[in-house]
Amino acid sequence: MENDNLIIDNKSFKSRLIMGSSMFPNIDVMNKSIEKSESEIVTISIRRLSVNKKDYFFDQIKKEYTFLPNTAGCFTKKEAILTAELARESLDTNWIKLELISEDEMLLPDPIELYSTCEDLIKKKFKIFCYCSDDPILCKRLEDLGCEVVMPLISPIGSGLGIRNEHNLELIRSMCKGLVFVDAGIGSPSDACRIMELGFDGVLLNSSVARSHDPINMADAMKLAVISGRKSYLSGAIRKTKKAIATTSFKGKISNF
Amino acid sequence: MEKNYFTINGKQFQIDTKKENFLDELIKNYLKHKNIKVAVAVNYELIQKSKWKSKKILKGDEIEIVQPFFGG
Repeated sequence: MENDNLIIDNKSFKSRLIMGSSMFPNIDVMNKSIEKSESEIVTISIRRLSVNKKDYFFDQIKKEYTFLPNTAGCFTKKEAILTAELARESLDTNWIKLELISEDEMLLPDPIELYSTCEDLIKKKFKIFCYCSDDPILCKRLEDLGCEVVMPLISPIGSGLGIRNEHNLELIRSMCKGLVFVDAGIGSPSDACRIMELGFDGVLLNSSVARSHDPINMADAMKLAVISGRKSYLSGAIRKTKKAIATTSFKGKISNF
Repeated sequence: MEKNYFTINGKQFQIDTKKENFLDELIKNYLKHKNIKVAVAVNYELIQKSKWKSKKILKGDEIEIVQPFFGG
C-alpha cells in the first residue's frame, strides 16, 4: 500500500486517527498516549483564560501537531460562530470542528441549527469538520453545502456504545464522495477497525483512550485498529456467501469410501 | 450589573471614569503582562488583535479572553 496519505485541505497526513486531548489522567499520560497513537491531528477546545493557572496549554503539549479547535458546549449558532472566530484568532487556522448540541444529556447534535451554522461559517471561509447525526441525508446535504469533513457519530459522545446502526454508516459512505470520519461513540478498537473497513476516511476519538485502564496501550491498539481496518478496506474483503466454499480442492483426494 | 463596572470572563472590574479605557491596556493588566496568545471578544463580538488599541471599553461591557485548552 503505497502512499495512502490522508489529504485534508491540501495537507497530507500519514495517520487517519485523530485524537482528542481531554480527560486523560494527567498531562504525561496524555502526551505519551498521543505520541503512541501516532496521530498528527489533535483536537482542542477554546476556553476562558485563567490567569491564576501556571501552565499555558502550549507549554504542555507538542507544538508540532496540527490542532483542530472545537466548539464543544455550544448550543446556539451565535455561540458556535463566536467560538469559531475566537479559535481562528488564537490559532491562525480556518479549521473548526463544529459541535452544536441540542441538549445536555445525550449531547446529540441539533441538525437544523447545525446546517444553518455551516452555511454562515462557510461564508466566513471556515473549513468545517462537522460533527453530526448518522443520518445519511443530512451527511450528504452537509457535504454538498461544502463541509470539509462530514463526521457522523456512531453513538453518543463518551458513551463507548460503539456502532449502533452500521447500515446507516454504509449508506453514508456510499452517498458521500468526500471525506467522512466517524466522531464520537467509539468504545473499543474493533469499532475503529470496522469503521475503517466500511471505507471511512478517518476516526476521531478521545474518551475510549483517555478513560481506558491503560491509555497509552489503548492508544497503540486504536492506531493498529485504524491501520488494520484501512488495509482491509483497500484490500477488498471477500463476499459473504450463505454456503461453504471449499478452501482445499477436492481434486486428487483419495477416493470416497 | 452595577454602574461603572465592566467584566472580564464574568468577573467585575471598576472602570476608571476619569479617562478613556482601551481594550489593549485592560488585557495587558489582566494578563499581568505575560506574553500569552489569546483571543478576545467584547459583548460577544470578536475583536481582532489589531483593533485592541483603538477599542474603547465602556461601563457594562463584557470582555471574554480565551485561549486553547484541552478538548475532544
